[in-house]
Amino acid sequence: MSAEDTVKVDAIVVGGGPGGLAAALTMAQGGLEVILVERGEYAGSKNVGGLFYGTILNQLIPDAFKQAPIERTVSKRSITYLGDGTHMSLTFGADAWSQPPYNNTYVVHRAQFDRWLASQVEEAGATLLEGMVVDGLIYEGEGAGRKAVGVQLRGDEAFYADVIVLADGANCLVSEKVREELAMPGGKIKQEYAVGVKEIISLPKETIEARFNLKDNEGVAYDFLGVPFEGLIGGGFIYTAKDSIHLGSVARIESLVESGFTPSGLNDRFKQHPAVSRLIDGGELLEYSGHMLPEGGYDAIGSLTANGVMIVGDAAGLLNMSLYKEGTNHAMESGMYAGQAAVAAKEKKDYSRSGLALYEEKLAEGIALKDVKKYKDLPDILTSAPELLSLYPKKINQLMVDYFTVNAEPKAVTQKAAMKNFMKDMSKIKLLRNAFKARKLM
Amino acid sequence: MSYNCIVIVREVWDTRDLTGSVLADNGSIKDSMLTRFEPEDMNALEMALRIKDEHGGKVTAFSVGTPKQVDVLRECLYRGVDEVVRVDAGASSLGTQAAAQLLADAIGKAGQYDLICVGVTVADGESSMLGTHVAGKLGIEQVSYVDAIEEIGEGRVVGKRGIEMGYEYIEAPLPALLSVGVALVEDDPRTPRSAKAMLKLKAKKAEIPSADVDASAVTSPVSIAGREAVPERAVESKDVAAEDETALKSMLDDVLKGE
Repeated sequence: MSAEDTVKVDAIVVGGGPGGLAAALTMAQGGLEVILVERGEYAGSKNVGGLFYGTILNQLIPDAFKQAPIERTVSKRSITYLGDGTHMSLTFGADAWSQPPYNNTYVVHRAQFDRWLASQVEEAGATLLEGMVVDGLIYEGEGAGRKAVGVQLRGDEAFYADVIVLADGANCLVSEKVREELAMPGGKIKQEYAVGVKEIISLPKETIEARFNLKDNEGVAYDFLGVPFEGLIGGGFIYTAKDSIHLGSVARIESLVESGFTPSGLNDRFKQHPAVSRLIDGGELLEYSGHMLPEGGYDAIGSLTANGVMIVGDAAGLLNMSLYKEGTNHAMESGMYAGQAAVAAKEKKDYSRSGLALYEEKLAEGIALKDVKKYKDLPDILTSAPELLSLYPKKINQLMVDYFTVNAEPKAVTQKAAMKNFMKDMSKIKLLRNAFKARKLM
Repeated sequence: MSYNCIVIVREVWDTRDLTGSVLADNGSIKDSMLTRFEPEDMNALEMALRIKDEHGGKVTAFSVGTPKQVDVLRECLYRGVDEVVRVDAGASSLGTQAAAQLLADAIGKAGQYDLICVGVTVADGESSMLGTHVAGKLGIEQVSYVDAIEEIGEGRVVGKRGIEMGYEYIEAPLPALLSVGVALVEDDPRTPRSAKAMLKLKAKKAEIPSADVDASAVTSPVSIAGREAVPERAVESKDVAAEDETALKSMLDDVLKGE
């Protein structure tokens, strides 16, 4: 191949999810020549989530929420415990959440939203190559000086770049290989994964608005735990889109294996709970998808920078698996920082690990890593105190149901019986210990 | 000897994974419907590119109308087509005959050519006649349902067509139009090539030239007069215990009676 046939640009991004797109956008805005390679038919075709936090998006593209294809803005959230024929919810919201910028919390169809974001990235000057798979990176040098200089496309060309941003998602085969090849230190623990399935269920707009008590573009994000997920580290969710509902469940893979549930079987169980089934009654299944989530938390995050390489988003393990379930926003934040580091590296003409150090410095100062760090004990707590997700909410739910049971007994008798039932099988010491642990869940 | 080939390519509705309702309240097809590169046009493109690979020459792709989601002309460039021409369809949607007239006008202005390849069936209109009409308007020979080119040379082309119990070979003088059939399938060694990274990189932002034809001068004698959705059938689900034979039988009876 002659020299003029060799493609060499400033930066190549591997993966067209929110992390990769944010990195490409930041670098293109910073004047870098950028190629983004996405293996799906279009950017976002491999993505599943539906709840989108837009703080970084609105920073990267001013007032993005006004132009982006947003289905509904989230004005109401709830956490529901599903018992055996019982249920208990905590629902909350704020009037301000129905006003711009809508608490930066949106329900989106990823197929549409990610494509819109990709179009913004192209407009900023980056070139997106969809439908192409990166097999691995190309290196120069040996030992500590070994650096990544390009990507090898499957059955096709090699493209070269000064810096490569790996945004290949939860199931990050390229990043894993690169970590080994560049001897990048891993995290304290091995990454742990959850698997989620999601259905998009069509329902008339009016039905959704009546069923969830919504006005105009308002929407809900409901979280569920309890009986359908008994014995599992997992839960379910419902988000309302314009004329469809996103319903899904997520559970830690090992806990699924132990319990013998399949991800789809678990989702069916969740859907069949009477408190859930009535929310989707009469709906028609439009789309069914599955995805992995990195849930190892802070301790599973390894080094994210090497010579000529930065790792962002889910591939970096930057997912907050607490009740916030924040992944896309973190991916975008890390992508943005990686992009900024690449722009700075170009100015210094230093793409070595130390030349790209700005990325991890910014990450340490930002929200994503701090949040993931805050919840770093979560994986441990959920494993060591399964009562937190099952026994306690079940007990409280039973207490409420017993307390408000209307019968021929005097209230004092009902209440006493309710309390007695509540304390049955409850170890007070364990309760105290777990209450102490539980503070870290919030 | 080298050949100048022309391919006609179309963007069509993607009907592979249809769910939910296709029509919007006003009777038009919903914006959310996806589109794709007409797969038989893709086979026609591959046929033309292979002639170029083997004999040299040039491949030019033509398409009518502005792209919705998939820019088929750009996709042609990604696969190695030399030139592309967009034919403006004007404001209204065109019938097959009007589209054929526009294409014939544009092709007539594009210079000498030896072969035109186009897919035979199209997923939206199912008229299967675009190639036939284009050939008629250009006054050249045409062969339908060609699955492969057996040979080309000495002013003629021999096409291979799958028929019941075997194949037949049809010879036509050049220039000719071939409507390409369905025989090129996924696991077929002749499967259409995928986009090439280098070509994609070069053509991603390339300007697509438009043909100098007047869409307003073309009227369509045939057009879609209206659309009607199949009424949705209300299905009431019933729970029947698996061990209850009488209930199962009665449910089966209901199904057979169409209730």
